[in-house]
Amino acid sequence: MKHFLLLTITIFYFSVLQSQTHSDFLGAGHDNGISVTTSHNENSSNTGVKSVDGFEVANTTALADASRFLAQATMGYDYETIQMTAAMGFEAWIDEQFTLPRQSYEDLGEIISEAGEAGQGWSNYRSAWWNYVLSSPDQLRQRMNYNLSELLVVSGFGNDFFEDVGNLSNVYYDVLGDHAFGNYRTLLRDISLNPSMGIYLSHFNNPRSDPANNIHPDENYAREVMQLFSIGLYELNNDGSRRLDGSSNFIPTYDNDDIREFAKVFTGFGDGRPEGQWGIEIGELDLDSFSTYPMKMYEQWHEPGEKRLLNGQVAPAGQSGMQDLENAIDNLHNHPNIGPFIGNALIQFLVTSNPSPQYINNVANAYNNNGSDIRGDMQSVIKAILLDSEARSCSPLTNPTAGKMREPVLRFTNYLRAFNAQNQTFLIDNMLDWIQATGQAPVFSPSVFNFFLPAYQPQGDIASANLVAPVFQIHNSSTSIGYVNKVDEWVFDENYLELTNPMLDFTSEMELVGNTTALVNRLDILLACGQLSGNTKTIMVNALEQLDADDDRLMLGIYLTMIAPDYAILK
Amino acid sequence: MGKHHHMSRRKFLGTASCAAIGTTTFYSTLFNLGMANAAAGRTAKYNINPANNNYKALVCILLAGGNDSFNMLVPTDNSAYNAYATTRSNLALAQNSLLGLTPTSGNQVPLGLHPAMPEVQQLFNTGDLAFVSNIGTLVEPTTLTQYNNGSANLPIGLFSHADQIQQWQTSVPNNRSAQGWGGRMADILQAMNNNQNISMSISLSGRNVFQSGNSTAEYTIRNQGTGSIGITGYGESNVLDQLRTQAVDNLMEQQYNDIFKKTYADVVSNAQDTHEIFSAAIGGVNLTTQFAQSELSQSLQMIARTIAARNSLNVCRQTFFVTFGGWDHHDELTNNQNAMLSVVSQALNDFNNAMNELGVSNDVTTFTISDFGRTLTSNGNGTDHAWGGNVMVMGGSVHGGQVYGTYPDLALNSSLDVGNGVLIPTLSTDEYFAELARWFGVTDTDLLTIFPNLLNFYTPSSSPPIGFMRV
Repeated sequence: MKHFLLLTITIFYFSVLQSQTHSDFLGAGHDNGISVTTSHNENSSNTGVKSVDGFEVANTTALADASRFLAQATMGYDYETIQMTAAMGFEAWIDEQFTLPRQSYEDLGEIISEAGEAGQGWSNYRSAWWNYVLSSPDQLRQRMNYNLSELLVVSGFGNDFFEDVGNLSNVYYDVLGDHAFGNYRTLLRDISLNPSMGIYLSHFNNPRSDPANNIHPDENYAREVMQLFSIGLYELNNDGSRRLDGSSNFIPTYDNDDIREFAKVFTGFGDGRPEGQWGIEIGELDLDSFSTYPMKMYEQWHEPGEKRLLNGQVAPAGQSGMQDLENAIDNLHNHPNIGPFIGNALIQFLVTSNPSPQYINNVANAYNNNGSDIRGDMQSVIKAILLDSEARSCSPLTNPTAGKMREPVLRFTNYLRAFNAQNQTFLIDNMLDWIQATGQAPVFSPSVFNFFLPAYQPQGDIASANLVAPVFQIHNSSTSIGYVNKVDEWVFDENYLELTNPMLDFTSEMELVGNTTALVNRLDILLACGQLSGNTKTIMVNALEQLDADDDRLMLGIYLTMIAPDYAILK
Repeated sequence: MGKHHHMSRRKFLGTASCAAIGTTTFYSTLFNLGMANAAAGRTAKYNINPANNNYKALVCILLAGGNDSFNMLVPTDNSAYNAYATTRSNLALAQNSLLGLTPTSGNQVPLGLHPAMPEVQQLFNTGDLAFVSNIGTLVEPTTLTQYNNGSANLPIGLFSHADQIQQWQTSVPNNRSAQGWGGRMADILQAMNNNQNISMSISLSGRNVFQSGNSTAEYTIRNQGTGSIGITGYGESNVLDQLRTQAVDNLMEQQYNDIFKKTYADVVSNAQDTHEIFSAAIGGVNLTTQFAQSELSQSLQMIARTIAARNSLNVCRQTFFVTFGGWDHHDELTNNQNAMLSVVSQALNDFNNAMNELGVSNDVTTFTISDFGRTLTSNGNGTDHAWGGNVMVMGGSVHGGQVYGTYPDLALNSSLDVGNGVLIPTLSTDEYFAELARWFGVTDTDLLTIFPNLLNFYTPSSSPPIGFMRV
């Protein structure tokens, strides 16, 4: 089927190219007479194409749709996965993904560290990350895991503990992955108890107040768990819009007094190991084992008394510290903001930077009630995001403000998985310079505010249109070229990926180098979700035609696909 | 690079038959290159003299996360020190560890410096550096009574990183506009530069609020090599690179209706264009001053090299922006701040030396900003988000050796303490920045455009807002 399909497309494009009168570069003015632009199916108006073979083009559309779905739902995928997903349907694919067992980063990290010196510290985490991202079949979970790590941030950036101890990242990543298909309330509770988070946002070893010495509870986690992890700064309607008070002002969700009350809740959490003791300095701990036990409550260091929570609720005096925590998590989880707040964040990561109020409302509804009176069901949220008409219909393809810029890390994993990177060793360690080159590397954001803010607006057209474009915060004159040159390294520098041994499989694509149109169409479906415009494909075909039919053609084709605006922006 | 194919719409403009290249695309480059479209009408008010003796630069160092600056600048006399030590409890620095400061006039309580900053001590005592004390985001002068009874117009999102770090760059704490005062200034002053093909706003730390204007944006460089980078192989002569170059040009210069694709493409092609100008200018620079290996020192070195290339770049006004992050010391304050203040101190000294080497110390003013001060009280081994703090300003045009503003009483429950040692600022960012902008050459009228709340604190006149700059 595959060959027949490609042959059909090939014949069509070849016939179009014959009509082109220029054999030199396409460039200034040399696009007269090229009608290939109208044949592309990006808006499903395939009139011209259907005259050739409507049935096969319909299949091309299906493959493009599947590729788009997988670009939203995975870290990357190959051509067979596109075909398989198109055949089985998206909801069935999601249901199957929900059943795949989670693999443990902690366990893999242990195997890697036993492999020797090179697998210690930070590279231990990176190696585990690459191994699962490239090889694990549970791609929906891997994608959720990655995006949750951008929402519920811990980071090795400038942090010696994370730099030295891979397990701090591995175990934390496992917590996120464990609840990616579970319940957000449990996730929120478990990251609050996670020792990596305890170190990163400093509620580990956070003591009760000591008024005689002017010591108050640390407010760090109390603030960020509300601002970033659950409800945000302003009261929201279920569709994500901000509620207004009688004077048309936004309504803050909490004030500094509320933060001080929540800070009291997050006191008394310390070393969770059976032999753990209160108050040992982080640097004195065996962090490898420390990181594997949720923090436990040391009651004598927990702030006594009532804690006033939000919306008039309290954690009453006289109960245990853990009961205080459960009350506080319930308070946040039952706050009307959490559905639209978390829903909007996940939509932005997966599908589009500027979801409509209706889309947010749909996802918030799924959060609020999964249909079985359960709140916070991640499976319900994920389906609502990925199966919404705003994610699936064709209209965003032609809407000039729909979609989002792909994150640089996801562009790289997309490339590696598209060509079935086979990791020959444990150590894939080539993202050390990614922060410098592209502004991004996994679990390495500059602060708890992630690599980019959800409401970031680059000045210019996007801000003028009052739209947001979060990923553009790391797209500047240095990183934009830094990324282009990374693509150059992947495809033209033979040593670059070989150094770290993910062997790429270009067999199917090399079979097409004799036909540039077929090759470009293959890359379009495989990498760009069929979203390369006719003009873009023509530019590419005209460049590739100037090269001999060998691997240079393929490499330049991949390079141009992956730096093209039609690829960088996923509609 | 760029000898064979100059990735430029300017070239394509002359090619009327090129359907893909339209004027819309061309004008969009004005924004990214910082061309002076909006500012063109204003040039008459400014002395457009590219003569290099008229060069001025502002260097903004953002200490991201909130520097605990009441452990940077500490009272030394017994009574004030005791109040400090009581309030700060287990975080107080030892009195005998503080580095002595010798102010040129004695209008403050005697102050000392964090022991990790001997270079800054020297810079202060030789008159190259000043402090500004208890400064913060304010919409209007605010008293404790007004704060408590809710009658003051307060900054939005007080004590929150995201809001406060932004407001320290916008100086408009009563709204969420993400346009910075450096960007608003560039909107007006970009026209002063003869070379309109490179933004007067140069960032070592990527996109930032400070330099985001209405018609101008930052040009981002890195602190390695020649600062800017170009597309590998671009413009080179072998067949593959020629094809690559042409195809990249064609891809980026298509006219995109899609707002995101257009922005993506514009950034790439403008970056390549500007790289060719920038790298050529910076390639010829030799600087003998040695810089420390820290990221901050290395970034300041690249800024120094850019300033050294001002003649080749043909510019007379520039702002620079660099972030040094990691100051959110809720935990391990003592050790971490010690290490980080040491980095700042060395970096400032390196940069000051380089400005002396280039003979431009009177033309370059460096200043620090940070999200907020931190609670005077301890949370065990760190501090939390607060409000007023202390900053540094350095350069030959600074009346150094003084602490400006009023160093506050650090006893708890003072007339400025809103709780836990969170101090209401007694100077606004408006006054601080207006003084810098005034030195930079902004007219009184434009000061009020750039700082819309300024009149709440200062009426432009021949007297400066604070007085730390020689004008």
